[in-house]
Amino acid sequence: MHPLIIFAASNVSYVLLLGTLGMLVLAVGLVAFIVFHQRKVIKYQQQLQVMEEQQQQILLNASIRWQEEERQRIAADLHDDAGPLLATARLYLNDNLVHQDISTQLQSINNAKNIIDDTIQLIRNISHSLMPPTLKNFGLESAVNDLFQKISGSGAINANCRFHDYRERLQPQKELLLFRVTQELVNNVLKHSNASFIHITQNINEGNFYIRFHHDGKGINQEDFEKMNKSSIGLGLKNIQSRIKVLDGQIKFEKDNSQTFFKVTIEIPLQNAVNA
Amino acid sequence: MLVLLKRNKQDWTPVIFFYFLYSIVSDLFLDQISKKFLQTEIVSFRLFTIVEFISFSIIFYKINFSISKKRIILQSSSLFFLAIIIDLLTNSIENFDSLPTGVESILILFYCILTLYEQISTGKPLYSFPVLFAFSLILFFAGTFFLFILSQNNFENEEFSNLYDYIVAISKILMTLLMSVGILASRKTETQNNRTFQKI
Repeated sequence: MHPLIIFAASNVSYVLLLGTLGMLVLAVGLVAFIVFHQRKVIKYQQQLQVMEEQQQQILLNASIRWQEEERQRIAADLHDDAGPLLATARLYLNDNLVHQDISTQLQSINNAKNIIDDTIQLIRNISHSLMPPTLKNFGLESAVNDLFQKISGSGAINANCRFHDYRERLQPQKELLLFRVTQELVNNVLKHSNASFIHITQNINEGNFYIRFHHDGKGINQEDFEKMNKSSIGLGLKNIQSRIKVLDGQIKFEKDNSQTFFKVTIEIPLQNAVNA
Repeated sequence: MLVLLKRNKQDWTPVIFFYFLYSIVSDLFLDQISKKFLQTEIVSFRLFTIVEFISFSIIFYKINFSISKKRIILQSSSLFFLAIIIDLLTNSIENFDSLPTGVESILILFYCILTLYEQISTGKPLYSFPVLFAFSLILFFAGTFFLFILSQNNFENEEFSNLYDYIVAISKILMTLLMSVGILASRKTETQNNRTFQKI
């Protein structure tokens, strides 16, 4: 065979071998990259899941703690207020009453009646604090208006609210959860912010329901809110977070563009059903 | 491989079964028949390229769930048939079909990447038939890409021809092994699903 042909043949073989090896290295590299990338993604997802579970646990604990505190409060109200009132009424209506003169009897019955009326009012207040009748009968707008009138009436803070688009009521469960969140936020403002005014607006935009709070006191931003949510403090904020989660919504804490006011925006989708 | 396939009941099973059966028949008989009657085994090779591309494209079409990817596979497959027509018009039928095999390699590698992208983005495990099928074809077509491209002008060269046989054989063994693991993986997933279903 001519040396040139041998050289050409060997040259082609080298090219072929090198090309094949190169392609194989590339292919193996691609496969290895995909395998490692996938492992990394799975590891990251597992970490995320663990964090999510921890967060769920914190929220669950907060919810249980809140329920326990609420029960204790109701128990204390019943024990400390209703109990003594009923005991006093019973004293007025004791066995000796029949042996006393008619005017004393009338006086005792009248006193007992007044005490029972007070007890009825007390129990009604406890019941209203559990489920406000205005909310049940007239909806979120009336309940929030009612709440704000009471706050404003106290003279401690200027409170007003405006619902721009509330022609159709939300589902009762959604309304209750939103009202509780509103109560908690207003409570926080009253307790910690030292604000001179609080203002609420409501609106609907692109299938989402918005409630926005403004106040001029001390407040927190989103970072603080998330930090407190992950720590053991801030039970009220954890309750807010868990309720917003049930509503499949979002809550955002931020400072106004003018850096003067704090604002809190709640956004919930109108279509999604509440699981709670 | 054929035993594994017989025990598997996926919608791609008949296609892959047919492909391997055709490979055996082609290696044992069709190459010889082609050589005897047409004086060259290239015609059998050409036919095999077409069967191979159609089989793999159907499998990719079946294992990809997204409609857009199915459409891409359908539309881009026309490039292969275009390459065959150009090759038939410009090249003798007795010459190696480097153009169609080159286009086939590129298209199959593209389908592999599409499939891997879908599997990874939907969080599917790596130990599954679509992923291992794509891996096996990446290795096979990457390994034989240069070989097929260079075959047209060098197929008569004895040294090249020997290398051709070695490279194709090694690549095919790798491909078949990985595909078998993929079929086993799909069988395992199917059994697990059946058990879960029975429990429910």
